[in-house]
Amino acid sequence: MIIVTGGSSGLGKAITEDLRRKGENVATISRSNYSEDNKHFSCDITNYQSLKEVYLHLSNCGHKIRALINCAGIASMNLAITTPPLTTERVIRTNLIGTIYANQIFAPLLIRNKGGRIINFSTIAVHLGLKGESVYVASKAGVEGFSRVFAKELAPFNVTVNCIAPGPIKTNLLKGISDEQIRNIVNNQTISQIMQPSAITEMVTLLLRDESRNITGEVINVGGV
Amino acid sequence: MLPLQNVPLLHATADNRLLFRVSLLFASIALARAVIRYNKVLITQTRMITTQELIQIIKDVTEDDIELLPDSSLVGGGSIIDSMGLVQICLALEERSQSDGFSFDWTSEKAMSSLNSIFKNPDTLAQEYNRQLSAIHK
Repeated sequence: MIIVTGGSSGLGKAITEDLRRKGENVATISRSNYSEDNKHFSCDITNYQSLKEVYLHLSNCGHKIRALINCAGIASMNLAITTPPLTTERVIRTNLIGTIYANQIFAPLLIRNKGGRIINFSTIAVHLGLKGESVYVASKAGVEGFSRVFAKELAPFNVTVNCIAPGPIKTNLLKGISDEQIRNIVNNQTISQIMQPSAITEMVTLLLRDESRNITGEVINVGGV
Repeated sequence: MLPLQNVPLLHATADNRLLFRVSLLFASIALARAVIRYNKVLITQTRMITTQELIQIIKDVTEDDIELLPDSSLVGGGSIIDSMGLVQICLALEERSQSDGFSFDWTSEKAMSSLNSIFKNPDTLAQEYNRQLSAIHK
């Protein structure tokens, strides 16, 4: 089984649908109550206890978890000095702390399975350092740092930890970002074009393959920097 | 010979009979509670982990022929267990705890503090396991 957090919308949904099309058994975790099947857990990833309950359920059911894909995240594009404190807190809690919680809590399932993959999501904006994304970038830079170190901690258990850092992808996360801002980011990428969700789902598929077992602690900027 | 209903002890009024039945009911409930409590204590005590059992678990998961004493350091400078071993010990204890009806939590704030760490040595780890086991059977 593969766990996808934030699997009910945006990139998480695209990844979930793609994996299911390929015959994978996928369980999704998100705040949404909506579910097309019984493999959805309604849970806020910033709530440690709720996540722990999902873990205990999966553990008690004896599911063999081979991958964890952390897509849950929110974006906020503001100049740092105009970002309200609650927004700062919400972005850091969801993107950084929520991702750390999911890694901490579900990693034992992968260790028990004698190996697996963890894929966290960053953003190409960490490398590009664009104006108006300081808090968002801070949260994702934290995810990258965490992933690099966690990769070392899990290496003896054959669990790899990597980050995918996409450029702008046509999802709800881009709502509220002007076309000019998007053009600005895309122009800074090595491949100057807006990526489709398939660019990310293909990268996920690549990292899940057995041949990727020696790739760990890496940040893969899709589109290039 | 007196007729049965004239015997004073058996000549109870309806009120007395009701009182007797209520008292009997309360006594039964109290007895049942005591039995359940005793069983819980018994179950908890039989499932308690001894320091020697814990040392054996550590030896099994680390697959090393190490000499471990109840006060051997599990974390810190003098530890003979590496970080991989520590994770394996946590998972082994979690597995055991699930068969004991709870989930061993090694992530408490207390878990990694240097002075009171539950990982200080096998003895402190066994104590923490038993504390969590007792808490769920209270």
